[in-house]
Amino acid sequence: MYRYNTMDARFVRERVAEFRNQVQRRLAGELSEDQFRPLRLMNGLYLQRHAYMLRISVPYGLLSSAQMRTFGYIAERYDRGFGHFTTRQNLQFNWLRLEDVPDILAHLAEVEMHAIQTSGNCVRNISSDPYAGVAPDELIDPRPFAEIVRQYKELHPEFMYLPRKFKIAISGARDDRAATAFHDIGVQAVEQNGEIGWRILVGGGMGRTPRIAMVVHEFLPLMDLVSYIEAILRVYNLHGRRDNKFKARIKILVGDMGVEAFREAVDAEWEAIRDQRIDPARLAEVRAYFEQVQYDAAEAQVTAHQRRRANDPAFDRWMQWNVKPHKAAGYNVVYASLKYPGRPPGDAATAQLYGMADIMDRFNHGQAVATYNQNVCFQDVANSSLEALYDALQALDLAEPNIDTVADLICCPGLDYCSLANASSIPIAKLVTERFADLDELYDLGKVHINMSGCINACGHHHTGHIGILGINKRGEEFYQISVGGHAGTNERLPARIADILGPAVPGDDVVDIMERLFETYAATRTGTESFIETVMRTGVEPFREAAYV
Amino acid sequence: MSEHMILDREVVDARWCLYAGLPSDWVAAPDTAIPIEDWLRLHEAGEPLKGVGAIIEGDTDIEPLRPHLANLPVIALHFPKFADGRCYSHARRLRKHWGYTGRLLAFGDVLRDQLLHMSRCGMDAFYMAPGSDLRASLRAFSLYTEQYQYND
Repeated sequence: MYRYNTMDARFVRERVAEFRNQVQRRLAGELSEDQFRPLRLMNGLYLQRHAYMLRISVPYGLLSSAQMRTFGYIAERYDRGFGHFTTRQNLQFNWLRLEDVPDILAHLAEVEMHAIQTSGNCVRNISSDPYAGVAPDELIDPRPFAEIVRQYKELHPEFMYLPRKFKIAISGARDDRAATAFHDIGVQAVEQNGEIGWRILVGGGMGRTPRIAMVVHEFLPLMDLVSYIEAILRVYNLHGRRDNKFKARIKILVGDMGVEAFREAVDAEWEAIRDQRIDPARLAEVRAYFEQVQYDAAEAQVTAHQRRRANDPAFDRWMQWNVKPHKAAGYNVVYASLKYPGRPPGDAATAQLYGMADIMDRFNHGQAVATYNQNVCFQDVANSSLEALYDALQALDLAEPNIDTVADLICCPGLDYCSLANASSIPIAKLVTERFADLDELYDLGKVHINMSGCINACGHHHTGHIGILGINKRGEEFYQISVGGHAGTNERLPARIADILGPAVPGDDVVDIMERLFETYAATRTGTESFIETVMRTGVEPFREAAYV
Repeated sequence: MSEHMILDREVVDARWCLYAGLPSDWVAAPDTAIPIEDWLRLHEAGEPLKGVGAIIEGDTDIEPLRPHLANLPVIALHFPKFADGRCYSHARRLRKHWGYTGRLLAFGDVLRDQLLHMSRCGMDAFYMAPGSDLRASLRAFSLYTEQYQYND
């Protein structure tokens, strides 16, 4: 993975010093809360229901064991013993004190981490494919480009006060696992006449007005990525709405202008800067950091784990659901499941954070990736390591065989932490996983993504859930709106899609019943090995709507 | 307007007089700036505007200024609220893309914590918000040894 050079390290230390001074001036009353709020937000610090929440940037989700160990240390020393992995591959601590935050940032700086721009109206962390670099269907490794864009956006002087937050996702594979169509800018690698370039999407998003992004450039040369992003940002900075925060995202600007006019404005802006291409020497230097893994061809011959599969049903289930294909024969992508029944999705306890760090060192050359579905995956696990890794994960309660199943639901912290939330998401998540605790039933339902948000801000990405759940508040009571048919990524079989709302919101107790009826409908209408979402896309949402309300 | 300002990273006496609107007895004088609409109108009418700069807002279309840059000793950029970031893009375009060499003067809700960003986009003169400690604010310029962008 990328390692900081002298300049990167100094930059982050200087950022900690700047923020430490800002906190001191706030505590001394020299800065008003109005003046301090944007400053702390653009350093990832929220004031929540009970305490301060700090969101730490995990660039494109990639973590070193030293970083994971530092998360454990912070959880233990400064939080109540938990870190929370988010849908944008970051990590949050929910129980911090303002006066501790500069020291926490100093600890993070020592392991090449920071919280710069994890919130605020600026360019947020760059997210990417959790399988980047190892996916069998990859056209190009997006990480070197994501790293270059990361550096480019860090304290960018022109774009720190955009109309609203700004999220960029980069995918290098045929199957888009980075939800690029739901980002302010989505970058997808595409192939044309044997050449690789970028398709640039703009104006996607979730929130109260979900939008699928539109194509603004069909085939951008690889080395023009940064200048083209700059052109988009400048058009947005100058013309995005600032009179109404609910209409300030770039999706509204693109919608108001129309994509053709928007493209013309970007091209005009780009003309002045398009000679600023990515320096090939710099790209080669960054790329070298991501090409250090050596694969052992002999691993393809290792079969001991296959024998255990035959004799150990629990191991077999884990292999089936939590282990994913790798481009190199004899290697695997393996998930640590952060969806343990009864615990908030994405939460990792101190011991689990420390334990994962050790696992990373033992089995995955000291690395791991935080994923979009709020789990952690180890990207380069050799066949010969699978059994020992399974045992180590099981000892940490991280081996629940449930990745991509109903039990792997995505969920925001909801009313339990967040001051924006209307409804509790975590208890509903718990109800759902309890109802579908039976493994045979769970596996029969196959791949189903349930996404749940505690409010319209859609941090739990309910719009892209195969089944979406949105918490709303009606006259002081919590209700839940159910939707069906969302799809986050575009691939050769299915397009990106916003879920359709089925009908009126229901009380929490009814959510699980509706879910059961949706699955009965699926079981009755599916053909062959069709998954839930494939069935919905074939039949349309109507049969599910009819079944939901009886 | 305050008595002092920051110019080239030093605290100096305030130098420019900015007119939000044109007074009836207005006459062109050096070290003043008037709204861009007035500037363009007077220029069109053949008024001598030597030494007079233009004031722009976030939503100003700055394209009409482009032919006149050599005649503008100062362009003042208005920040009604510090969170309004549009003038950063105006400054970058003027300074870098159009090669403007006059003064770029930030005024309005100009606070210590934004000075460095403003300066890196090409602004070199600052009327700070009331109550600002100008001397302490100078530290903002030396927070970072090196940064990722706009090192040109």
